[in-house]
Amino acid sequence: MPATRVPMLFATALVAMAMSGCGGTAASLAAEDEGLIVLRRSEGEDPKTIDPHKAGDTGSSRHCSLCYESLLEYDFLERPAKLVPCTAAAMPTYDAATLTYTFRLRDDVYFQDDRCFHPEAAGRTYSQEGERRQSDRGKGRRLTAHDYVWSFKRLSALPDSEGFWLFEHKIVGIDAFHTRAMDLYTEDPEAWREHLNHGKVEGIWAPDDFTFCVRFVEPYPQFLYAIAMSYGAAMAREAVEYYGPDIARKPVGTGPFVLKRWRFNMELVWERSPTFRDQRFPTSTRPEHERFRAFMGRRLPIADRVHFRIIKESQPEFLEFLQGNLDVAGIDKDQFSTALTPQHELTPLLKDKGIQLRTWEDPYMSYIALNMDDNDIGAPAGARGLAVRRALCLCIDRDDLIRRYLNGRGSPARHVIPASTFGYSEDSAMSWQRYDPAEGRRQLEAAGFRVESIGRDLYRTVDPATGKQVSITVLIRRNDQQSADYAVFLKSSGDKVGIRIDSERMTFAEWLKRSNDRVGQAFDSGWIMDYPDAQNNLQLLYGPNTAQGLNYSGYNSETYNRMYRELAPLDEADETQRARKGELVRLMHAELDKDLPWVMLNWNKTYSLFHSWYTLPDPNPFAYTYTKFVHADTPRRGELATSWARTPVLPGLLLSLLFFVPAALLVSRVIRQAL
Amino acid sequence: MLAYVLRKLLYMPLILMGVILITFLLFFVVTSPEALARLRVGSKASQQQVCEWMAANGYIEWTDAGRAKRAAPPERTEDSADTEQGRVFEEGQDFVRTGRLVLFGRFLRDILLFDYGMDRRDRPVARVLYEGMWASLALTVPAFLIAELLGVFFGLIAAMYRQTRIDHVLVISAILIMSVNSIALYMFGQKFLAAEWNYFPVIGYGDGLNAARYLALPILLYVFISYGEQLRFNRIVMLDETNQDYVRTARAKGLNENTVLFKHVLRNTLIPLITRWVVAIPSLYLGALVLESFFGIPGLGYLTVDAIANSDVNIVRATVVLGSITFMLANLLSDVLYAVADPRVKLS
Repeated sequence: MPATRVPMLFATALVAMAMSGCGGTAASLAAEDEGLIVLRRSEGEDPKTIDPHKAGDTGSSRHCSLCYESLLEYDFLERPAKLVPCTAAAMPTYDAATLTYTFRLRDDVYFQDDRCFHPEAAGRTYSQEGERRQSDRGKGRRLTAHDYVWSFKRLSALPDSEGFWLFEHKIVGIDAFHTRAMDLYTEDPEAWREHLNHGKVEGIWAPDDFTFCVRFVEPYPQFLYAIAMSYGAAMAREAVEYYGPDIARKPVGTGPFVLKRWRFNMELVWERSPTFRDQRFPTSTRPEHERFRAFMGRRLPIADRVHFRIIKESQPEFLEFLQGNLDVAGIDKDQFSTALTPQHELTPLLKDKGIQLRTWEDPYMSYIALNMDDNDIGAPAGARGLAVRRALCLCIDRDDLIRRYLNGRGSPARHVIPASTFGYSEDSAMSWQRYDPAEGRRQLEAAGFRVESIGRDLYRTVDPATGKQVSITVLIRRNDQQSADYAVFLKSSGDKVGIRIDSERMTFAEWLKRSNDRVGQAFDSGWIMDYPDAQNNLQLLYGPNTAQGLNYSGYNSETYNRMYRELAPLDEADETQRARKGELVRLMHAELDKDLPWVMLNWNKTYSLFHSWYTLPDPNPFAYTYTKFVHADTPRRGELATSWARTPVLPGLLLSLLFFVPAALLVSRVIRQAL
Repeated sequence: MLAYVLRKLLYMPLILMGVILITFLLFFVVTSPEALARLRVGSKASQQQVCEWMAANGYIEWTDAGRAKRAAPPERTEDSADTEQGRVFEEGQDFVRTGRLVLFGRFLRDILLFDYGMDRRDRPVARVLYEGMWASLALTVPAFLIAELLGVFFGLIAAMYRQTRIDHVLVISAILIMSVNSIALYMFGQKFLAAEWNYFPVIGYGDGLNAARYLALPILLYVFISYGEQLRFNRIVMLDETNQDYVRTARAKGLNENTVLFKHVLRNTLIPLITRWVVAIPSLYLGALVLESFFGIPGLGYLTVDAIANSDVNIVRATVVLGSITFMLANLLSDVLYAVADPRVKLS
């Protein structure tokens, strides 16, 4: 064959190979399903950890809940969110006289089979044995109340425990146990281990293998919500001791799935745990549960495998979803116009594929915490500071903010608690948290400021005492393009009442430092609710919590503090206490409306897309254990995804005519000349 | 040459020390121990727990007053500063901060002992770097080699056919490609070549030879995007050389144009090319940030940026040290290669 033809043949082969559809993943994914029920999902990044006691973020909690279990979990069908027993046999009994919860455990819960339970592995560690021995597993033992005692102690003994705040100062004896553990952790690791394994916490004990008791210092009704989070999960001491720090990647729990594979930056594969107890899909005759009818009574988990792929960018995630290679996807700002019309309906492209949209309110609020100790805008500034705070609340067009930066996925915030939480009522909406710049200017003028018009809808508010424009600097916890746009939005909002709003954009770490030290006038903040109790959000404005880094504004109202102290221990299960709690929430909102330590911005709304073969659970933002109830019609997915993955010839030919053929001709010509 | 190499090697620890010092100062000026603690124990942890974490990690030391206070329960009186979640600890009274010099000493000691610790996900840093490096190299090495080979080849052709239609087409195409934002090209490639037309997978990575299937599109895009810059650089280098006296002499001797270019000109353009290639070495193992993110390649490209954004001090420290050492070695290698490529260069 003449050498001059080689480049042409090479180019032809390259194009032919590509056009043969070697790139398509649909067929290969369908083959990987092997006739099993496989859920295909994505994550923006790897979970930080699969150690439930260190899992503070939603991604980590989601994965922990696949493997680990707590005493209670959220009911799959009931809304609003309701707790039901998980590894507990029934809901706990509560003795108000001794402030003690008593849980009775199920006797059919077993840890997953794992190397750590093998007799040969006793006294050895994962790092000693290595990966090769892992296939030789031991039989998982039964879960007992002692595992919960040990796990609660571990949560309190780890210096980087993310959930200890839920128990701290609440359980009898836990503080002393924690302090001793912290001393030993650095001084003597062996003694620390001994303390963890054999040290006593007066308020946590197991009278027998299946009874678990917790006693409190004071009433703590949020405890049941707290233990439904991953922090309340039971871990096996054998597993933690065998795997050491690797337990964060080698989970061994009692849950419905076993971690089969975790390739960092790439994928996590969970498979049905063969030792998972006989838990059934709940039954209901209610019409809104009709779509779950086929699964009611079926053994859990429904799926055989859950495959998470790590996809950092929104475009590939969305494209993979459109191709049918992912079952469910969120909608990023950049994909919004492709997915939804301006009326927030699915575009024809998505409708044609049978894709469905589900939206729900998230318990995430954005707000700007105003530093109440600031001389210009805080309490020291008296009535003038209050007028500035009012003007700041009135100048923000929250609808515009939501439209511009969240593609309409949110609602203006006028309450400190979300609409789904007990205590919420439209009547308690804070009157100054609305868009009315004219009223804002009036408030400023009434407080003695001079408001000058300097153009259409542009004003300049001057302090006559100094002759300078009133200004404020907001610390923004991101430093990207979106935060730059947001800074411009804040500035233009301030212009409507004549206040100059400057922004300092920074990394989250720097923002944390500044906001914890409260060095700054205002802090752009956000909060995701941990459990559906108003106390969780109202604590953010409790005066003494300033030093804890929760109350960034440093708001310290005696009235509010007193009401908060009264509200925190109230139990919603008790009708009298419930009524008082509702009243207190209303009064606390009124107090906040009087003092305005925050500029409320918005509540987030989640938009989720899912394919017709996928049964998406009804939303419950506090629950992470729902994966075991989810089903995907895998054969239908394979069929549809393969039919969508067509390989047209024409674009390939055109591209090759444009690039490959001229390049190959050029190379041929050079070779010809050289020869 | 040996003396030169040894001298350069002896300078390295000093340069490295400077780099480490700057890294330490920059990191701890931006990130306080409190912020690090909050990132590890969560923003909802009490101040006491934050202090406990800082003490456990050597950033503060408890005073006697602090020790006594932390063991006692919080005061729950109306006028107490104690909170629902714990006691309030004062710097100076309850704890003292560890000096910067001591912290730097520990920072340096860990580096010298090759003890990079764990990352924010509790994985050994050394393992993270080792595992990610191979995926990065699988992407960057072939992409770099193909791009460089094509760049040199088309640069030579452009020089060979200068001021002809071929030269014009090559230069105009290079300018066109350089004018388009690389992210836009990645998005175009992914959307059309992969998702719409199904010629490549949209995203993913595989083991062994299966990886080639996933790497093909990112490599193609890398080469395509590099083409413009490569062609312009190589063309200029080649043209500079073709104006030299020895080229005129070679042509006067009757050598054909291909021999002149491929044998004589190419050898003499090696100095700028070596500089370019060797400087690129450190960036090869660190991967291509955007390409890796877009195409789901589990390399190191994202790691450093992610570590800085999340104040993962151990990863930052390891990548800075590794980057500095590689960069210094690459510089030394380029000096040695100059001498090999050009006998006129003497290392002394």
